[in-house]
Amino acid sequence: MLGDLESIVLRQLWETGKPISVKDFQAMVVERRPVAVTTVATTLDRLYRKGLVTRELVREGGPHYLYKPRMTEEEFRYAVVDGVMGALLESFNDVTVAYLAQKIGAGRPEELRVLAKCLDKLRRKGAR
Amino acid sequence: MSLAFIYLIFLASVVIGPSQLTKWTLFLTASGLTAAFAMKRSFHGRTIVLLGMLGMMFGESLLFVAVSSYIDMLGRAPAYAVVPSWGYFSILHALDVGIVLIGGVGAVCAGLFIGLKKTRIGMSKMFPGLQFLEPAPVKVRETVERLACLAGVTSPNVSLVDSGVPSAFTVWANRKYSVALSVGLLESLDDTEVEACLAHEISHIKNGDFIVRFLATLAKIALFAKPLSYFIEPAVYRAREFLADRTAAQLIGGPGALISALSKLKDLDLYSVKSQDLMCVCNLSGGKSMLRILDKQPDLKARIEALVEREMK
Repeated sequence: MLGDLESIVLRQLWETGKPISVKDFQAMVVERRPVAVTTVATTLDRLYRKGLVTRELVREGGPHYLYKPRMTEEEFRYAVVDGVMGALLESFNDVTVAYLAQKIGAGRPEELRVLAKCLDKLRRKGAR
Repeated sequence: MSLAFIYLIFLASVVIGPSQLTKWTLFLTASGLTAAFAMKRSFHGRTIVLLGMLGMMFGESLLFVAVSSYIDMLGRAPAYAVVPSWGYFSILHALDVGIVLIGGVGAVCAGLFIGLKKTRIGMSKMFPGLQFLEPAPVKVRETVERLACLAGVTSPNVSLVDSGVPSAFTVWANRKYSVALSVGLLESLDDTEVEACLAHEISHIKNGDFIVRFLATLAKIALFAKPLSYFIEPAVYRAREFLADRTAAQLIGGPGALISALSKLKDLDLYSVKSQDLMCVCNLSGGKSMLRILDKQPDLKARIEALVEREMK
């Protein structure tokens, strides 16, 4: 879903936590990974087209964009899992459920407990 | 290298080509032009040679029509007779001629239609996928005006494209030239590099590249049955890009800023960015075509090398 550079850029954006211009962003990233400003600009534009970041145009000091992430890291993770699992459950419902039960049941008590809690909640909701 | 390849196919097609009458004329002209070209590495010369080839291919077919209809009038067998070899004519020739005629008429009609219709519509209608931010920054407009004045052309419109991908292009819209550049170009290049990109676009206007491209495309449509025209048309486009670089370097007094802008944009070659822009300052689609020879944009490395080579002389 995300390219190598795209995920690096997105992670950096989450870390920064405020709207940032392409030039400032490149100056920040370049220590870790030598990328050109043009590449950063294109990557951010691609993330924008994918709906993962928002941007606003600032005209002062030459037109440029200020980019910021559209969702938090948690929201993004949830969206990814939701996308994948939603599709799986829709197409291969029984297989997916069986797979999950088997995987989670196989010696991971912590995950099993989380799942039990979720199921409990659902059951109570259904009873009501 | 790629041009040499085109010549090779051209010569081959002329030698195995159908009509005896034009074959040798074409062969001699082509070799003469090749020799002339080899002696002088000029992109103007290159364009003339390439357009000349297209013209000769078209002329050969027209000549064939003239000769065959003349013989028809004399009451001889029709030129399109289903006889594999009727002295001068064959079914293949008749097909060739018919297709060129249909293609020629079609190309002219389409050209006129598009020409009349497209010149009247504005940029936003021409590129429904792009958002234009009005007005363009004053600084850019001033630079464009200054460069246009230097080049001796009427100052074009300037528009700003709402996109983070660095790109610039020129089109003929609303009966005026329009130079468009993206926000991404402004934010990732510095002022002198932006100026160099604008100079490249102005050079396209100065060198009359729209007419040259129009002719090449028209010829390609008319000669759609002759595969060679598919190699020649992109070669014309590429030659004009090199020429625009050279003119731009003259306009801004040295290729330094243009080289630096192109090398910054070169990094983008790795990422295949789609661009249907007519006259991009750079080829963002990096190696889209399976064959480099079919690309309308030369790759940026070649363009930088050409500029450096010129500077070394």
